Amino acid sequence: MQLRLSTILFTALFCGLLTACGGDSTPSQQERKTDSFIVAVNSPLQYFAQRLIGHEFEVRMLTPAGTDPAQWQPDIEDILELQQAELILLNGAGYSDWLNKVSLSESQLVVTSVAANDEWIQLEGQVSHSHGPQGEHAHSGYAFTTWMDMNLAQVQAKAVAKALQIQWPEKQADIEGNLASLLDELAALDRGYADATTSLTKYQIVYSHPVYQYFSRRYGIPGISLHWEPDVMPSDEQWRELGGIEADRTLFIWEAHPSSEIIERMGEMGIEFVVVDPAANIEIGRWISVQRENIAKLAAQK
Amino acid sequence: MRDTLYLSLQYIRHHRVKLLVLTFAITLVSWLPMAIQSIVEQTAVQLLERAQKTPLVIGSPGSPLELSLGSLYFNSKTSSTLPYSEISTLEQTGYARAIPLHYRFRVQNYSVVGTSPGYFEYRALRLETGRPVAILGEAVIGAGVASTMGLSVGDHVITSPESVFDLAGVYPLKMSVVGVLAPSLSPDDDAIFVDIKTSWVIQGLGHGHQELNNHESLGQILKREGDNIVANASVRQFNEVTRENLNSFHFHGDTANNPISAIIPIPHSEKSAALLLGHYLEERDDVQIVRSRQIIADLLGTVFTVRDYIIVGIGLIAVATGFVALLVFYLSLRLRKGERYTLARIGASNLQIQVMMATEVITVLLVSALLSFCLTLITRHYGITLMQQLLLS
Repeated sequence: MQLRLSTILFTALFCGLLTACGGDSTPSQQERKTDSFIVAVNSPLQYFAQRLIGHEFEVRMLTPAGTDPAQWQPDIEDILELQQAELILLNGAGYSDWLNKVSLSESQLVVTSVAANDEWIQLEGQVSHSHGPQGEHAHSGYAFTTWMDMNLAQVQAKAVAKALQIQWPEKQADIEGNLASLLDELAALDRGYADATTSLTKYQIVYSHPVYQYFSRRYGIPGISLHWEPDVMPSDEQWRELGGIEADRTLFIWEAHPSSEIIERMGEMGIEFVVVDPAANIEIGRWISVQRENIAKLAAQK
Repeated sequence: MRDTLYLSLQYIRHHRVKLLVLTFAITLVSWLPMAIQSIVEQTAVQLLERAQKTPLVIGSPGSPLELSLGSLYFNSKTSSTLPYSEISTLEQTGYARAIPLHYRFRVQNYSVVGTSPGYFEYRALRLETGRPVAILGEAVIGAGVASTMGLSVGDHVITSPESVFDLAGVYPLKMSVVGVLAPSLSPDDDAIFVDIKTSWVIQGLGHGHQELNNHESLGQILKREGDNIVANASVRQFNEVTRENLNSFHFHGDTANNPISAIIPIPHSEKSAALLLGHYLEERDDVQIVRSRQIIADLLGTVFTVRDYIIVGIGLIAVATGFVALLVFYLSLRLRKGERYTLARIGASNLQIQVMMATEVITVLLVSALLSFCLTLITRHYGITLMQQLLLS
């Protein structure tokens, strides 16, 4: 009881001192200003946010280099860091499947592609299940590499800009100006991809991974999606599957440059290849140059 | 003088039972009004302080008092809910940030409050030990819960079933304690905080279970219809979220439709608060916004009225007790007539006799006043806690 009494007295005294010392701005408020940071779940969103907000604020990506952000799962330290972020820029379309398992505030979350959710591509062949009274439910649903459709990338950039303007209204004019130039560049990429892919209709397109759905739809280059890793030699069965594709000319689109053995084997089979890097996880600032390189490589296929 | 005091004390010692009863009665009638006054005032301060810090709450249409008590003190039996999508609807108005609350479930006598990390910042709650809630199935407990249940970081709490007869109902969820809050002298001390999505898991709206799309589960599969697998009731559902089974947890349908008990809006400014109030009062009849401060002040008005009646009643009893005490003293003095005569005969002065007679009255009044003062002090410091424990027990 004595301990409780002393605790209460101490708390009251401490509160009184705090009240007496309190001014208009507390240290925590000042720290927050300098400690403000944004988290983006992939490189395109990180690039958009940094271009829009400038370098006054840090835009972090927690996914380690070399890890696909779509497959990344945050550990406890990452989640605690996410909780401290002013904004968390999400891709949408089920990109961050860890979202329903972690504790974050709704006010932090910005689903950047939600304005175009009617354009999300539903995946087929997803397993659903039924058990108990809840009935049937499926566990996943949409293709998520939305930014490879540069029109959707513009929607996402606008969503990022809007969220930043709400969070930092004093920077509204700067963000507006930065958005205009970013949208111009994305529109130029859109035209560049459209031009570079017009001549690809003569090819049977094969995609190394099912991550090009939006790219394929936007630029009219349908293809077959496989699950090949650029640094892992495919099995004989996988080569047979590739060889079974009947086409005069086949263009294999890789996410990253394949190993020399794979290139050699493809060369023997008469299969051409090109690298179109979605650039989901690259150094900040390089995203747009990688997209330009993609366009140049596709254009070279003429 | 010493001999006078000696004789007085001997008298008191000889008549201790009578004087003790008298002292007890006077103490009680003088302490009770002060105790009631003190407890009611402290309760009022606590209630109003909480309501002043949370001037607005949003919930489903119904009793505003129930909504205020639920969202401020987690003390509500109501089952009416809002869809979680109301959080984004509110934030899209641009007037406020929104904190969800889900307080339907309990662990023993303590509310399990499903919310978001913003709640802890809003209430300025500090962790004594451990870390904040990060994933599904984790809990941060209030200081009161920790001390009463003897829990610390690393222990577990299990949700209580809503009805022991509901065998097909929601299964208890075992949650790991990852943090203990520092005492805040508020209802947060007696709450168990989890993420809002953990509340939905407790409610059975989300779950984790063994993988169905592999060879080990063949015995549980009733049939496959295209992409749909129909499993029987023997599918093992997890009643605890661990790092190993976390990825198997999922929600049925759109989480935007999942229920929440209430929303605490945090307006960006006073103007935003006024606009928010106007928006909900004029444009929404499927949702109610409540000025919790006004509701609690009205409730306290009723409590104060009841308190005044009780104090008047006790005042009347005090007057009656006073008269009874006077009578006792008067009769005592009359009974001690022979004693006074004897004292005079053996040489006691009038002053000595009067002092001896007065000692009885003064002792009773002084001891009563002292006891009453001590009890009042104790009431001020521990009254609320004792009352709460008494009510809880």
